[in-house]
Amino acid sequence: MTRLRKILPLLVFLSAAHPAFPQHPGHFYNVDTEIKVEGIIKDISLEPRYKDRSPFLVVTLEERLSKDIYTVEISPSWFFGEDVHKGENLEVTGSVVSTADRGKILIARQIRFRGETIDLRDRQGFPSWRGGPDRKGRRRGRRI
Amino acid sequence: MTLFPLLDYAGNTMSTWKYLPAALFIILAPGLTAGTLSLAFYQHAADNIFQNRSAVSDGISALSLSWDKEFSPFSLFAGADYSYLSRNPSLSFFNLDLGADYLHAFNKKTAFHASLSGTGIFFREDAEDYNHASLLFNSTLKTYLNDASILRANYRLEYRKYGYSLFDFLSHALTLSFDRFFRTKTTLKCELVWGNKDFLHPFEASAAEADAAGYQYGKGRGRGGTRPAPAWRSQSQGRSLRMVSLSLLAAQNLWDRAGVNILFQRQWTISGENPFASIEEFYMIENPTYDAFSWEGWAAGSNLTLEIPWDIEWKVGYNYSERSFPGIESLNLDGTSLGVVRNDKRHRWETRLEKNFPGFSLFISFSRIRNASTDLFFDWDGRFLQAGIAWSLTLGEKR
Amino acid sequence: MKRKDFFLFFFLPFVGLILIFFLASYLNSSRIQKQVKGVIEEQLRASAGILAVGISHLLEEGRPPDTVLGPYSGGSGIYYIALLDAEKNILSWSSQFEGYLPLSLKDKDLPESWTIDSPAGKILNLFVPFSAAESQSYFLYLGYSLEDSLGVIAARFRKSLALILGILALAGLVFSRGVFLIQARYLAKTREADAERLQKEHYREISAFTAGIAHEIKNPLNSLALLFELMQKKGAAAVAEDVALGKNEVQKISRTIDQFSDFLKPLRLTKEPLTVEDLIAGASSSLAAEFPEKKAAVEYSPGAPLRLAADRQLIVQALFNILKNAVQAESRNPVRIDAEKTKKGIKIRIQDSGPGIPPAVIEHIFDPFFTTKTGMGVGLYLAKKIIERHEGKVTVESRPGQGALFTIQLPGG
Repeated sequence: MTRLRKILPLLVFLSAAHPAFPQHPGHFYNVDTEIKVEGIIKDISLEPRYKDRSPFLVVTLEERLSKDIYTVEISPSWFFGEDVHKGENLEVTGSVVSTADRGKILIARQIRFRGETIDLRDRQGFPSWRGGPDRKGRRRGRRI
Repeated sequence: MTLFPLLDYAGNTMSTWKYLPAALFIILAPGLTAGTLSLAFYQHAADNIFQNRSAVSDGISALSLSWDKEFSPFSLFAGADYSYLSRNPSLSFFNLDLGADYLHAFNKKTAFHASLSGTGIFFREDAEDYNHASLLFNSTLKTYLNDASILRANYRLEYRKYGYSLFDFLSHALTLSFDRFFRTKTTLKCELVWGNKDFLHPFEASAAEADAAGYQYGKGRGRGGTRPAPAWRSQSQGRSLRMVSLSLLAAQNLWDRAGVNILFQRQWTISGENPFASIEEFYMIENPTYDAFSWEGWAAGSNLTLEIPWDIEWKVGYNYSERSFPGIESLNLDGTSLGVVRNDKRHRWETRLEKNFPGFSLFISFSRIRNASTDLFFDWDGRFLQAGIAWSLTLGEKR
Repeated sequence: MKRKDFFLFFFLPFVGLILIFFLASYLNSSRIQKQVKGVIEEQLRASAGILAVGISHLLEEGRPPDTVLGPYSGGSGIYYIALLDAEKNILSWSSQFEGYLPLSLKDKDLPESWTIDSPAGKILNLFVPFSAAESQSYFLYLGYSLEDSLGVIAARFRKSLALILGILALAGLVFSRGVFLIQARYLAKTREADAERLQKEHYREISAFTAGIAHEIKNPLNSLALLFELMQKKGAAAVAEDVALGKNEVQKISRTIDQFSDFLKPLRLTKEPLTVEDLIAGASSSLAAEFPEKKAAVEYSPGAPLRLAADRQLIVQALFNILKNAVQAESRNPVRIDAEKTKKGIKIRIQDSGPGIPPAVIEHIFDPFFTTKTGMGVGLYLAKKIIERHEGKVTVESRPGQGALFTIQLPGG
């Protein structure tokens, strides 16, 4: 009877839960596929990446040596705080996902930009804008 | 004119106990929903807290709590700070704010952000004239004209009500900025600001009444030194101030771990004059007489950012400004007018170190200011040391 | 900035806060480890099992794998959830934190459960195998928030996390208050030291000034004294009395200036072996010479001889100044003196039975130029200076109506 009492609320809850944002199977921070890429920004865009979350700053990066193109997902646009431009240098450490339709996607964990190192996620991929070192007091409201 | 009765109440209430429920709500609210809670602790040591000739030193300890939760495209944020002055504890103050914002990307290149927030600053005992509550509306449109150029337009509206109604104001500011990145790794940025500030309850009285009011105001000022001065000049001019400012910035990437920038700013007062008899500024404590609208002149500066070993960010900067304050006369130490508009020449050196650790971030910064003024009371030197620790905690998503 | 300031105002509070932070995490983690093992793990494993059953039903119904997680991803306390096939390829996943799915598939054999740290707190990871239709194997990977579970276990109170944070903040405030008190005390001491230094500087200025004046006055005064001398020898008889008076006054001025100069001069000691009895006798006889009417004003019963090395003239001067102060405290009863040997040396007590010294006066009694009677007000200051120069100490206690007790401590015995 106690077991049923535990299960019942769970089942009731499960039926009430709303559907989550369907994500690309590989589109998560995969600690096994971490690489470091250095290149030049070719394109910049603001794109929604996760449901019920602000648009992300996404840049297209051309690797300096191999000329490979990566789509780098940085962070919510309000968190990053710096204005990026085409032609600027970027060094990204992140997890790479190869997709058939969108090419190589790099989810950034740490970037070096204009002489500064900015941590976007912890080593396991936990986003800094949801917790962790509170750099420059970004938390108070959002900015673009 | 009382546009916002709630703010009137806030501005008129002297006891901070009445804000305790609000503070408690802010602290406990995260328990009711989820989001991110940020905590920070700052310690300041200043050897000239009132930023005048008398050089009163003090140590300030500040505890800051802030919370935000995203409900895209909206987010809610709230915060509470308490700053304690060890040598002038009666000037310790609370800062509370609550707001919501909206962020929307029209397309891949353009985003819009707007926020509406209420802020209150309440001093513990002294300086009740300076208690204030304000309502702020801020909106920004950012767009990439092409991938190397960004255009930004911002509008800001602020209504502020003080314990002393002579300071109440309504201000508008419109900012337009454009920046462009060049292949030489140089970024050039140009920013134009137009602002207007209306004093809502300007003082209109005879000279005798102005003097009387001056002594009433005088109780709150010159804490680091005494000098009798009328608060408000007897004429009814000085109802508003209008200014325009132009800034130019050039930033250069030196190599992977360093960057340098040079900034130049010129500001003009188009119309109006400061209606006060004196302009004062306090370290960390907002003073209603000294803000972006009160001066005209120019400033130039440079900053260097370096990444030194162990991932420590080091910033060094220097800034020089020459500011004159329309409508403000330079006074002698005993209060007699010197017949010239007050003009300040300021040198500011600052340096800052910051490091992120896995759970928190630490910073320490030092700045030195030398302010040479035609008003001898505001001819001062100051050294300010500040350190802080900050971290954020995720409040689990509970449903 | 002084090193002490830096230590007190910056280093100490931050180290304290970091310690609180890590202590809280440690206590939390060890507490969780105690409570999680067994109870919570079992409960969460059971929940995971149930979820697996639900998902397997959906798969059996023919739902595509990338849609089956939809109903479960918002589950209470579930931070992330993923569905993997038999080869451990991820078919579908969902997370409450953008892109966060901490799963390393490098290790062929993953344990069934393990705990990880994150900025969102401790997370219990479960890797649950299950089967669906046609014996197809799958894995369900879940990350459960242990913070939440702890809250449920501890109080069934949704706001417990905020409460813990509130307690942490309060601890931080209490700690900060402690630091402020230390800070305030330190500042008070610094202010005292500053005040003392300013006072010393002030006295030094006065000394320099008065020394200068004394010097300037002394010369013409000497000439005046010689002049009077001459006038006395060669002057008319009619003015002899006036000349004598004049000479007397000049001598008085000279003595006063000498006193000043003595007061300003650094004390040079010429120590010799003495006894306390000898010193008190010397002071008493000087007192008798100055106040002949108060002959029996001092009472002293010597015991065993107490020896010390001191400058006779200076110590007698000091004792004289104190005794003079005591006998002037209007009383019929004599001033009592007694001396004894103590561990620290020799203690001499001088007790009068006058009206006592008011508290406002007693604070300044050893200050130079402080007097409630006539005179320069340097007697007791000089006495203290002399005694301290001998590495001794002098204190005064007094209650209104109970006279004053001067206690002199000197090395020796």
